[in-house]
Amino acid sequence: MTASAFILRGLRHYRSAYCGVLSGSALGSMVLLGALFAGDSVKSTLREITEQRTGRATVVLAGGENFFRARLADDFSGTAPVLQLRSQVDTPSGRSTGQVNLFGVTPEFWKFAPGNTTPPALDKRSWAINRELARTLDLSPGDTLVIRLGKPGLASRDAPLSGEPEELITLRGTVAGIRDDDAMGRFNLEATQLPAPGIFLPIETLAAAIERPDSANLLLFKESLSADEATARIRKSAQLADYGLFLMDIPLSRATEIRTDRIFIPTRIEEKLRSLLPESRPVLTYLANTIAANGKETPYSMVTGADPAAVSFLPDDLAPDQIVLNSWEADDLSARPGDAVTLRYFILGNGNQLVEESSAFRVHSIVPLEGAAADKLWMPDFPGIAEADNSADWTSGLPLDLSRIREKDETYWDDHRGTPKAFITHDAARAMWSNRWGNATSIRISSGQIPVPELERKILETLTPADAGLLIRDLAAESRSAASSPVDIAGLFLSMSFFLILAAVALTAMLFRFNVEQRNHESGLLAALGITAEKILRWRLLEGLVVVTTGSTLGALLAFAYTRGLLLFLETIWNRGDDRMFRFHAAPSSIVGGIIGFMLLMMATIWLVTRRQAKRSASLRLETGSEEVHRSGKFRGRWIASVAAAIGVVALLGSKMIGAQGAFFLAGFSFLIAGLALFRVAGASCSSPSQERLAPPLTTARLARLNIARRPARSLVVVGSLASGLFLVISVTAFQKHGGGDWQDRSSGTGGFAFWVETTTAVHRSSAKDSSADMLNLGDQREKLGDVLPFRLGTGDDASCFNLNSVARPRLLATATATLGNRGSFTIQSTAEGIAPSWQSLREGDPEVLRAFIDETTLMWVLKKKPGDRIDYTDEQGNTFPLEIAGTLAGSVFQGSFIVDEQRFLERYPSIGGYRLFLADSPGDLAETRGILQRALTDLGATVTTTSERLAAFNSVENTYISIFNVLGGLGVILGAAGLGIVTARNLSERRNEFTQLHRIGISRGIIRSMVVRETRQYIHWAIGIGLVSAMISILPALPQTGLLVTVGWIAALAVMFLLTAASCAWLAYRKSALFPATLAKAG
Amino acid sequence: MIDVRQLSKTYETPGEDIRVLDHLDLSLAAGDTAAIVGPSGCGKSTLLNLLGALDRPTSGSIQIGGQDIASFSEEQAAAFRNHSLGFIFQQQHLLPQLNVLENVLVPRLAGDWRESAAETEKRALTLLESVGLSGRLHHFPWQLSGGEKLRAAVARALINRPKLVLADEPTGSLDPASTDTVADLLLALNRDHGATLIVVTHNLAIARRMGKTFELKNSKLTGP
Repeated sequence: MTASAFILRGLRHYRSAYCGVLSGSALGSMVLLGALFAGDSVKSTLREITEQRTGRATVVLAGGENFFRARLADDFSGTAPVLQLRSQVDTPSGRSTGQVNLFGVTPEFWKFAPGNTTPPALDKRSWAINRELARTLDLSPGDTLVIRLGKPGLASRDAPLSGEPEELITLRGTVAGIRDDDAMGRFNLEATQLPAPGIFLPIETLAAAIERPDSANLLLFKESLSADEATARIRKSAQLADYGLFLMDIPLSRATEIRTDRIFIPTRIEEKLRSLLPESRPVLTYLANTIAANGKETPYSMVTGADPAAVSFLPDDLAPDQIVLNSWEADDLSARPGDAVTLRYFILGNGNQLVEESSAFRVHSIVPLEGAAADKLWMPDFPGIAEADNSADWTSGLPLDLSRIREKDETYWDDHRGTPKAFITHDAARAMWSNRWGNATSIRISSGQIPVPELERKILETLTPADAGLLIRDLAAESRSAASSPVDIAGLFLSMSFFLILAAVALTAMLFRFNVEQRNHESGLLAALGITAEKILRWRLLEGLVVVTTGSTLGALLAFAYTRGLLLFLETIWNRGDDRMFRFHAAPSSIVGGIIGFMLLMMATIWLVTRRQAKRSASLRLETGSEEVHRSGKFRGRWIASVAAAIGVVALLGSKMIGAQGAFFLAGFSFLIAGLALFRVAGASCSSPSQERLAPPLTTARLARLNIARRPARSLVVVGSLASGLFLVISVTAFQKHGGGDWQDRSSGTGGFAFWVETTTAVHRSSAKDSSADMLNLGDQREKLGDVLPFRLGTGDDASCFNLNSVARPRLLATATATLGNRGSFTIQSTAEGIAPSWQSLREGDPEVLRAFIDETTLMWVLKKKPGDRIDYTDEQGNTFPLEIAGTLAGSVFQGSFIVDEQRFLERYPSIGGYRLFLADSPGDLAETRGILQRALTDLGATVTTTSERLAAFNSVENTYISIFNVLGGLGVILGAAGLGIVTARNLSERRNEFTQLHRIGISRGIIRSMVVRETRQYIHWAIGIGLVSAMISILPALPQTGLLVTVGWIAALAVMFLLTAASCAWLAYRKSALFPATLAKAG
Repeated sequence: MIDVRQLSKTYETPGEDIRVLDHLDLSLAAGDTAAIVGPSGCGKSTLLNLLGALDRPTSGSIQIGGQDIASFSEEQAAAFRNHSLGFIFQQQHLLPQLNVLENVLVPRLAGDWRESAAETEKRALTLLESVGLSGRLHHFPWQLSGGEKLRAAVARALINRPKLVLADEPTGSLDPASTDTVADLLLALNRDHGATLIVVTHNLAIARRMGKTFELKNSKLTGP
């Protein structure tokens, strides 16, 4: 007989008693490991998706709307050019989807796949698609699909003189194959775990379709390079075309001009070139709607602004308010030197609308229409104008009244094309016509000053890709950063499981203690036989260790299934049907660490609850048996209750400082502790003898109270578990969001807008002249909508709660914030110090800093920042600038994005053209209007959702987490109820003799039953009281954000459910006990 | 062998202190047999627990075999019980998970047993044979009668060759015929093993068969 054999005998003999300990350990271990596994799975999935998303690409040259030569890739090994555009895709069966990524690729592209893959055979009509598009449109190889995309302009379509609004291009092809996620099917530079639909076609096909042969806007590098190294390599191989520049010989002026296919030379490039070539001069040619003088006017004429010193025929003394007319124009206006001339022209106003302005000049002189003054090359190749045969055929994109064009104007066009009819100084031209794209249409340098090859070399040496809006992105670093979720899922689930684990541990320890108490005689005997108390305790703990180890291991195995369940539930957030988003992964460190951690927790708790037993003398154990012995020390329950309540009150008072969530948890927990301490105090005072007063009369109620106080530890565990579970379920349920129904309320999260409209193709401006703004070109249907507020989509990633990736820079949404202010839309929840809570504040402050508002949820959970913090963004030219978080919006549709002022935004991102997002008000029936909108905006590839739906979707994410919380809390309640049942059964079993004696001395079964019922009822009442009160107090800070009636309803329903569960468990225990009438009758 | 001087024991309870033993003296020589009688609740078991080093006196000294057991640490007290004492309880307290032979061998688990396992087991078999349980070695307690349980407990009390055997109401749950048998057994063991025997009992017939009888009344010990 050895100690280990003795322990094993004990385990075997008391196996039924240990079943409870084993089950509790298994449950606790399952929940704890499940939380860790869920975290592992999310992390692992994000890592895998990130690898699939970016493949082997380490660095990327990204041009966005700025294109470079695809052949640039030929100069580097291990690179692939990509032409990425967005389109709408339709199928002959009538299915359609927008926001589809079009990737024009070369065979090199497929070598970036994370695994080995065979390049698909693509041609003009056979394209590969990814799984997401196949799923969305139910496409299979061989199926036909139609791509519709807006043809990108040479210049930004926002710019004046950039041509007609985007022309729609249609391509028809068949599905050659479906690319798997790990075969570049998931390629996407946006940091998101959600797959975006995509089509892969030959880059030549796509480039030809948009009439930009040999163009790309992405260049992927496989080699591990720093941003500087990549920049250096690109600069070495770049040609002027990659910067959107070209040189033009201007023979009549004996000059060379640096021009851009983007019409306006970007300011940064102009500054660099002017600095490089001090002798160069800017030229700005623009379309004047009218040149008027002497009561006469000439429609639609080119006017050039140039430095008189650089133009031979212009007088040196030409002042900014003076104009030189050519002889044709002077004749047309009967103008003489000194005459007043008015120029009328379009400039860009708010909302990208064209506004006609005018400026007054005085005629300085008249030049003959000959030589350099008659040079057609003064006018750049304005799209829609340069290639027109007649003036009447112009498609300039401007709202021109072509009926004004006279016969003589057509003749002039025939003879002289866009030769300017007037000249002014460049300063005057810039004052009128400079815009965010630039101040010049060309930079002129006299021939002979520098040979053309030398000029080209110097320019290339000076410019960097960023000058042309071509940005180098360290994709490897971005991917590493994005692959980590901003929400620590393991931590989240652990915190959600906190009470359940606590309840499991407490109940398991209580069951273990039952076992130890049950064996008090054994312990006493062993002590009497000379075995030390420490050794007896060690044996007990070793028995516990065996049971806990077995239970924890079993729990670990169960955790595999439990985690899969959790992940399935979590996936409901994204509503992706049968597609599994998360892949289960359990890291060895989580398995080992989780089991060991849980076992340590369990063993420490078991040690805590049994060590006191070990301290009791052998004689006491022999005498008392399983009866619980009161501690001789004074219990400081009142003191504990007061301190805990004080902490709770402080937490509530400081909820603004430490945040509602933290305050909620701390306050709730503190009140729970205070309540339980009071429960213990009540028990102690009930059972302690009183010297001063007579004992209260012995009633069944008092007997019940005395019996509860008789075993304070187990009573505390039962009430604690029940109260904790109740507290958890009620308090977390109260945080469920029910917003969205009050969409018409402008201060709500909808801003009073009914629809959220996202388009695949950008909308640049209304075709109407006025800005009552039929931005969406709805025509007669425009009246169905109220205000329509357009937004520009800027750089950055979606940082809403739908995106599990870590987003460092949320997407920028730029709009006319004044409109939001005028409407009183949205509620500005908080602002940084010194910033007023108004939309106006986004247009104020340091111009070097871009101010932004963001939804409070995104700020708290994703960015983990506070108002006043700054985040560095990179502008179009590669310059870093700070974005200041000016304030937060309460529960808005803008979750995941920064809202910035449009004008401030355009200073940094002038090339980002058009609007792709609209918030629209609607006075009519939403369903009808939505249908109208959806149909009317088909060509734009629009997705129309109601703002209520959008808010509900965001809320559903939080509500899903809360539901998980509730399920776990519910399990805690069930565990508490089971504990109540176990304790009831245990008490009844231990008191069998007591009840039999009571029965024998004539106490009726009814009275005994009533006493037991009262005992159980007191447990439940205390638990409900403590749980309910602590939960109600702790949710006070959150109540204003939740529906009070809904919350109270929920609480009432939960309390009733709780009551029924606990009572059922106790009743079951009662039925099984010796007290059940039939059994008692038998005993009697 | 046993020399108890001015032994007192007071229990502290909430509200009041209860003095159970009040300055009592007791002397016994090696090999003596003694009975301690007295009304219920007079402190007989308390005295036995103090003599068995299961409890500590409030004041006074207990010399057993020349050692003051009242001054023992927990470890020393445990070692003393393991090497020098044998306990027999009214409820026997046989461990339900062990069979009869294993129950007798339980004291070996203390760790510093002075003889080999084989020797102890051989002696256990002899003891069980001497109490008439050689045919029940592998039975579990629930398979034994009350008398058989008590005999097993007696065998367990003697496995360590104790100098002193303390029996607390050993016949309390037995019928008169079994009581006589047990009394015969205890006296025979005293005779055969030379251990001092102290029996706490209500049973005057048992008490009379002991060499000395003490009465514990009003916290004082009187007689013989």
